[in-house]
Amino acid sequence: MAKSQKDSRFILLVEDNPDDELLTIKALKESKIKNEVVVAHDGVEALDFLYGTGTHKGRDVRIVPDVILLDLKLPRIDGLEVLRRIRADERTKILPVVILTSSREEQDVMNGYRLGANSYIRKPVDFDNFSEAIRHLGLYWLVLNENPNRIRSPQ
Amino acid sequence: MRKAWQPFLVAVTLVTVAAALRIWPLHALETRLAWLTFYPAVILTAFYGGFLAGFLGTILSCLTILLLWPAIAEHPYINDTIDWLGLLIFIGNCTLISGVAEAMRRARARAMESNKSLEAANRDLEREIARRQEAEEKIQTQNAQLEQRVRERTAELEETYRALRQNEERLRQAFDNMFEGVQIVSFDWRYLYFNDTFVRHSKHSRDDLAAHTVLELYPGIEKTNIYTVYERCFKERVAIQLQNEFKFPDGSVSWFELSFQPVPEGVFIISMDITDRKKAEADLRKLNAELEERVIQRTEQLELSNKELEAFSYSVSHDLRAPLRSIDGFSNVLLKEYQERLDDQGKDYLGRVRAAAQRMGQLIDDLLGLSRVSRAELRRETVDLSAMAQTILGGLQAGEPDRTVNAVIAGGVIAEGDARLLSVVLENLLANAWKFTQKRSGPTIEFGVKDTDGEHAYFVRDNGAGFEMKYADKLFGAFQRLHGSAEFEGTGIGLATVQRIVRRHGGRVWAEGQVNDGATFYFTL
Repeated sequence: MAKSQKDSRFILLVEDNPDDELLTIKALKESKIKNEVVVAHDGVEALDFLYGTGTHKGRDVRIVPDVILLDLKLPRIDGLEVLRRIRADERTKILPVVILTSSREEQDVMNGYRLGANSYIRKPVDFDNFSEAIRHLGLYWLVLNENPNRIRSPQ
Repeated sequence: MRKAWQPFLVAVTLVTVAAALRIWPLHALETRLAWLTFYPAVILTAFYGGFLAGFLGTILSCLTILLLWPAIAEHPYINDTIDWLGLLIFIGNCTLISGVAEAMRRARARAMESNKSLEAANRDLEREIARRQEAEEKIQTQNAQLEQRVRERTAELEETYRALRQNEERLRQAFDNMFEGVQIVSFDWRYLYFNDTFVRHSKHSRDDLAAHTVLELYPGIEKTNIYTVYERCFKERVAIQLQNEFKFPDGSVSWFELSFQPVPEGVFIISMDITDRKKAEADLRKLNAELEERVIQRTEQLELSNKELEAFSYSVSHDLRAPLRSIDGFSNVLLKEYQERLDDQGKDYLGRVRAAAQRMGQLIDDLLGLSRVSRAELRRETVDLSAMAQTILGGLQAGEPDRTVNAVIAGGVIAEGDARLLSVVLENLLANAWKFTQKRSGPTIEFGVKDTDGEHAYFVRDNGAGFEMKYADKLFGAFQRLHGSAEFEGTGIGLATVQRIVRRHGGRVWAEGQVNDGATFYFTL
């Protein structure tokens, strides 16, 4: 995992629901997005991965995902808190973070943007709509978007 | 006034007359009684003219005799010494008579003089008397006037006194019968006046009050607040009003509303027993406090349930949709990846599973929308409803580009309200109109405003499926539907949301319609 991450663009999916995890990966595949997907099942795991702590102790933290797909309702540390810490840390401050969640509650949307989310996408119930959204998302963040980290530290 | 020469003329005249008389008719006397007529002449002259006139008469008489005598006797009068004697006697007598006459004249003159002064004095006296009488009359008049005035003044005073008495009587009666206690306390703490109400307030008998001082009747009063109020009113002469809790010697307690007023004799006090009122106030305060406490508790409960509701909505929003996504997602995967192994019926069933899941997703979204409407803060601003309706219909048209709908939107319809929520209202009403005209040829959707009973009623009208008026009130209940899902899709929450938004704006919403002849939805704000 670590080797391939060094060279290629990859996604960090923070998702506790295994169904959603599977459907997201399926939707990505359907959209022909071949990039690797790293999954963190709660906020703690996501932060451990990003900062090389806990179960990810010793990971090279210079290797960062091109985009983080962040669910809000997560066990242990919730999505908004994860986002807050990402933005507070110099190493991850400018990482693209897309909130991908079930909620359309105004407070979630506002808090998400206020804490520095780059995008806020609601998972539609209709799978066709869902995979369409994932396709757009992958295309935009992994293909069209210029990742700030790659400009800063080219191989 | 008699001239100074008149006596002498009288003397000459009388002597002449005497001489004439002696010559004629008395010439028969011849030489006898030669002086007969001259005596009266001299006497008259003397009495008329005094001594000097008398003496002149005498001399003239002598000269006349001496001169005239030869005409009578044909011889001079003086023949012998006897004749001289006769002459001398005549002169002597006449001089004597003249002197006496002079003395008499003078005496008479003196008498007249004194008479004159007496008369003058008399006149003065009379004048004085007259003056005095006048003065007296004046005084009497003045006296009479004075008396009149005294009588009048007395009458006035009596009237005043009577009025005062009446007034005092009235005041006393008023005081006596006043609902409030009245007392007048002298500077040495004695009761100068008190009425029945005060007697009741005082908890003493009338006799006790009359016989004792305040300090004697209420031992220990010197240490209380009310004592200082008395003192202030006595010394500083100020009016004081207060409510006072009074502890009686027997231990009982009453509340009084008191008004202290300084009067010349001491202090005038009006007292009102407000014990009951105070008790009622205290009860009311207690009740209010309890009520407030209950309101606080209820508010806390409400806030708590609101929070719970919010948490519930939040949870619904997140958690209820996730399984639906799984149902729909994996049904979709099955349909795609296992389609060779599924017959048509299986695919149909899976299609139904997906449709149901999606419908439930919509239902959840609508329900969340409804609850959001209730929770959202209302921000009033000026909203251009015409422009809003135009935009919404444009969106609907974009969703179904193949449909042709005749849209009639009145221009310049302005309202005061929350733009976001009003947009939800128009979205729901226009989407309904859009939906219920889909099976109709020549569909028309109208938006405008109409004045009814002095209020602006905004309306959305269509010529679509309509509804039966007897179900009009069912339209706005959540989950109430007048059409089957197969006929027209929908969750039955849209109009409930509309009604909630309109009511939150203080307005009302109603509908008019007829089956197959369209519907009009009105709302006021």
